[in-house]
Amino acid sequence: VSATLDRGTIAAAVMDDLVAIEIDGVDETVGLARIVATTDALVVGTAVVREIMARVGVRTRSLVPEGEPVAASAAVIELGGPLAAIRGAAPLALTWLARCGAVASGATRPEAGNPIDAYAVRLSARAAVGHDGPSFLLEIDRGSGQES
Amino acid sequence: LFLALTEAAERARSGERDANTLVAVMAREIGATPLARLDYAAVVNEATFEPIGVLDRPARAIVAARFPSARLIDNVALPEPAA
Repeated sequence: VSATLDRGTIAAAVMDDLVAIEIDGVDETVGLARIVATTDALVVGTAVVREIMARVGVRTRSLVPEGEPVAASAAVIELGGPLAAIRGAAPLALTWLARCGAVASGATRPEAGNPIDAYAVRLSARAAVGHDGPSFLLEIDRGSGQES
Repeated sequence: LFLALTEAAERARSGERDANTLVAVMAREIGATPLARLDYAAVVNEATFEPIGVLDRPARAIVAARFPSARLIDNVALPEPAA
């Protein structure tokens, strides 16, 4: 199992859901947002989040190294770009981040043959946390609202 | 989109230097994707992002496609031309 995720693997895993997301094409407001842990969590799957966000024109910056544990309320990824795209893609990104973190922390069993689950399992030995599974939310910066 | 870019990169790696051919490859791949409507496909100068006709310098393939509820974009660096 690879220690990293290649783009082809990620694209194959997310594309069906990505083409189905809904983005308000009229709103061109740009701004910043953060993905924040709402529980103690392992941060795994940032490359998946980066892939999802990049496809809708949103830049990402990891605030926590891949595979590291964080406490509740920690910001883990910063996002910048069209707020409509951030809002539209966030549910999918949060779902993947929670899924990868849950597999890595042992809260969810990996799916056989799923390369992203296999990658997440590989990171679990570094810092497992025992809880019912991580959770994340999107926080949009107050003051964001600049027309592009 | 990634498949279209990968196909273009493979063609470039195999020696294809005509950017229009690579654009056609990407357009055909995206055109065959259900629900996708090609917005643009281009081969651009890596440094300036200006479209180029021949792969004789570092270049990047870029694509955008509209789906029913979202517009998606992607790009990939093309293999360097052989010296």
